[in-house]
This record gives sequence, C-alpha cells and structure tokens, in this order.
Amino acid sequence: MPSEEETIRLILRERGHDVVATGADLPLGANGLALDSISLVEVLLAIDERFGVALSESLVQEEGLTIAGIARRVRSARGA
Amino acid sequence: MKKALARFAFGTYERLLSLLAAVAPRSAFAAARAAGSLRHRLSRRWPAADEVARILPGLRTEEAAAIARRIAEEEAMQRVLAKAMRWFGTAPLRDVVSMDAALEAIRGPAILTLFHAGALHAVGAALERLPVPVLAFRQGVLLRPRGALTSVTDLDTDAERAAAFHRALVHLRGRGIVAMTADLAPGAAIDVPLFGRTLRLARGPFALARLTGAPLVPVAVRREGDRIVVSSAEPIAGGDERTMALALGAWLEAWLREHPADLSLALVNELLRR
Repeated sequence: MPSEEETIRLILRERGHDVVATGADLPLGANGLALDSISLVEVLLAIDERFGVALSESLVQEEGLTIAGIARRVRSARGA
Repeated sequence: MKKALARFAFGTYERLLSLLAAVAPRSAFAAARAAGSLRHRLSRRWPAADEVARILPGLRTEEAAAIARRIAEEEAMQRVLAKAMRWFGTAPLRDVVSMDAALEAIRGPAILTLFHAGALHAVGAALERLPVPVLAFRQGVLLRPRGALTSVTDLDTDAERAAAFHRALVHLRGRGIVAMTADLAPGAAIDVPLFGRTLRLARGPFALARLTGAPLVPVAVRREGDRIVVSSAEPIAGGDERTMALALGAWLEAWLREHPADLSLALVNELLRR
C-alpha cells in the first residue's frame, strides 16, 4: 500500500505537476512547485477525497504547504 | 503650481460632493459628472481622445473626443460614489440602484462576473438585495457584508486567494451566489481578445464554473440617466475554462461597443498596456 506521501505525489502527477525529483519539503506554492491558488485548492480537494478526510479548508489557509507537511496532517487526521 | 492647485480644487470639490451624496446622491453624482467634464475639457487627458481611438479604431476624431469626455465624466462620478460608500456604506445608493427582473429572481448556484466598467462601485447596493446569500470577492473596501451580501473575502495574498477560492466552491455547492470581478485581478489568468488587444481575465470564475457546474452570469452596472441599473446577460455554461473565458470576453466587447463611455480608465490603461 502506498504511503500518504506517495499518494500525494501521485495526485500531483495526475494534475500534470512534475514531482518525480521534488523534495518532500519543497513548498507547493511560491518558491517551490509554484502551484497557483486554484491548482492548490484542486490538489487539496483531491487529497480530501482520496484519503476520506476534510483537511482542505484548514490547509488552504496555511502558507508554505509541503508534501511532507500534508502527509503528516493526513496521518494525524486518520489517526495513524 | 497651476496643476497642483487645480488638482487640489477638484479633489476638495469631489470630497464635498461625496458628503452631499449622503442626502442628495443624484445631485451629487450629476455635479460630479459636470466637474469631470470640465476637468477633461481643461486637461484633455484621463483618458485622451487618441487613447480611446487606439482602442476603438475607426472613430472620427470628434467621436473619440466625445467618448473620452464621457468616460472622464463617469470616472468623476465613480470617485465621488466610491468616497461616499467608504463614508456611508450603501445607504446613499439604495434609492438610486435598481436591478433587472432576472437578477431579482436569480437562484443559486451562480457566479456573477463583473468588470471594471460602468458604475461598478455601486454593485454592492444590488448584491445585498439578492434573494440568495452572496459571497463576494473584493480587493478594496467598498463591499461590506450587509443583507444578502453575507460574506466578503479579501484577495491580497496567495493564501487569501486559495482560501477565497475554497470558500467560493463550498458556497456554490450550498447553492449560493458568488460575485467577482473577472478583469484586473491578481493570480492565475486566461488571456482573451478584446478590441483586437488582450485582456487578462482571472481564472477563478471559470474554474469555479467547471468544478461546480454553476453558470457564469455576466453582470453590467451602468448609469442610465440619474439611476444606476444592474443588469444580467444570458448565462454562460458548459465547455472548458478557455471556451467560457472567450464567451465572456465576447460579451464584454459587445457590451462596450454598445456603451463605450463605460470603458473605465482602468480598463483603458490595461488594454493600452498590452
């Protein structure tokens, strides 16, 4: 079973974002993957759906979101 | 020195008219347009006739000059209107602003798309009277929660824009109405042709329409005599984001061709920059 981090990478790849060589601590927005606000929300909604959590509303307000940071939040929300 | 004095005199006069708008908005707005006309006759700028002619080629010189003057008149009214709204909210506008029947009966979900054209600043007085809760995006201080206008969201930073987009999605899924300007907005954009030039439209309304299936409703806010009328056009629905953006751009161009004096100074400058 893929880890949370791998699933988040898969979601990003499905949306055309090249994250093969991207470090897990690189921000998804400015100074990182440079996702615009709309793409970021779409990714977070897909994460909500894929993991069965409701994190997008709180995550979207955070600056400097990273793959690793989101994976931690998902693990915590799922009680892992 | 002369220019500075003139600027001070017109600025003071407009501030006084903004105060007058609290009790006699129609008179204040008419006086503002007269001042705008005089200022334009003196300066021949903001906008200049040749700037209008560059956007609307084919006009005779006197036609371009007349449109430039009318734009300057509307701009002067908008400045007074904006100042009055900062001081007094929408109260002075309640008897001045009306809506068409389609807007009065509108139901959600719907995305009202506005432009920096016509009497845009007055739109809050209509949004607060809609029959459905409205979430509005803003970048200034003119829109304040009141009546149906339950929520107003700032868009100054990336995080604010992402949070606003998320809120708008939730609001539309709850069958609400979202109102936003489609032009001169920061963030992700789609370029569309306008008068043979390029206008950058915010991607937000089109992405919201794609994700929720809500129709985009083009909304015009324009002065007609001593009234301000907020009217809606046929909704744009379906298609990908670019198709919807092109349709909205085509609607804007047709509307501005019909009402060239509603080309705001901001839109003139934006078009000439590209």
